[in-house]
Amino acid sequence: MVVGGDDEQINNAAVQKFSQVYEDAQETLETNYFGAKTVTKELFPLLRSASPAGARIVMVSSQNGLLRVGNSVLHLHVTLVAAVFADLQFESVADCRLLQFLLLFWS
Amino acid sequence: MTEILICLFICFLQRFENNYVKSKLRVDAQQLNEDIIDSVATKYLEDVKTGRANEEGWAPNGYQYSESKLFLNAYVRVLACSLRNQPKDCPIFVNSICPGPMDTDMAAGYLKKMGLDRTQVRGLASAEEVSKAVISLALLPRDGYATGKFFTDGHEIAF
Repeated sequence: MVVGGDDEQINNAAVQKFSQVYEDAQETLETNYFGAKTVTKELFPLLRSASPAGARIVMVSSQNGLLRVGNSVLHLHVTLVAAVFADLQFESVADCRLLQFLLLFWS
Repeated sequence: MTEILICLFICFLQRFENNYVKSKLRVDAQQLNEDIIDSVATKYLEDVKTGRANEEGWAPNGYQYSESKLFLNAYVRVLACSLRNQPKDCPIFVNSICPGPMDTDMAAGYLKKMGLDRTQVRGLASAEEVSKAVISLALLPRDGYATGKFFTDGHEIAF
């Protein structure tokens, strides 16, 4: 999407699938990585003619895609657990399922 | 409370490590290029195809989303680096926003997998909050503007 003429570009489109099927992995990468890259390159000529104020590209990405997180889904779990237990308020159903899920997942 | 702390501790101990990815992507942005990222992405897809993704240390159980965003973030670094040579009077800045768990349909799918619904989880960022962060990042004044960086909740975070 090109916003406000030709000097801002925000790439937001993405898909998320919960599957181990190769075709789904391929589709995810083609949309989230190769797709974003292609769009950026295609729109580049527009950005190049931008105002002296400078053009900006903003990629809407994910904390899961940070290398220091060990490129795993772990960070999301931890953040979600933290979110659930924020303010030390407990909801028994959520507690049990999350703990169960985490333990199963890493056993 | 103790159970939760133990659980979190176990999570941290058992974080996944992928040395191949680290060796390829954890380098200075100047040493990184698009071909390297593409080759890592291709290797990932090959590993998924041959059923070796878990063995090779990729994100487990089909969370291709993490890997796709990892490659996207790496690309942000490469792109920002290559754009440093832009003419001074026409700079192009590129940054990545990493909002964390959000209250969207996408997160709802993930929560559903865990048998939860969004009303049971607090602390998720709303689409409005994150869109404001995106817009402010897009409209920041030029002076001292960052490029090739990652942001969450208005703060810069490390790759």
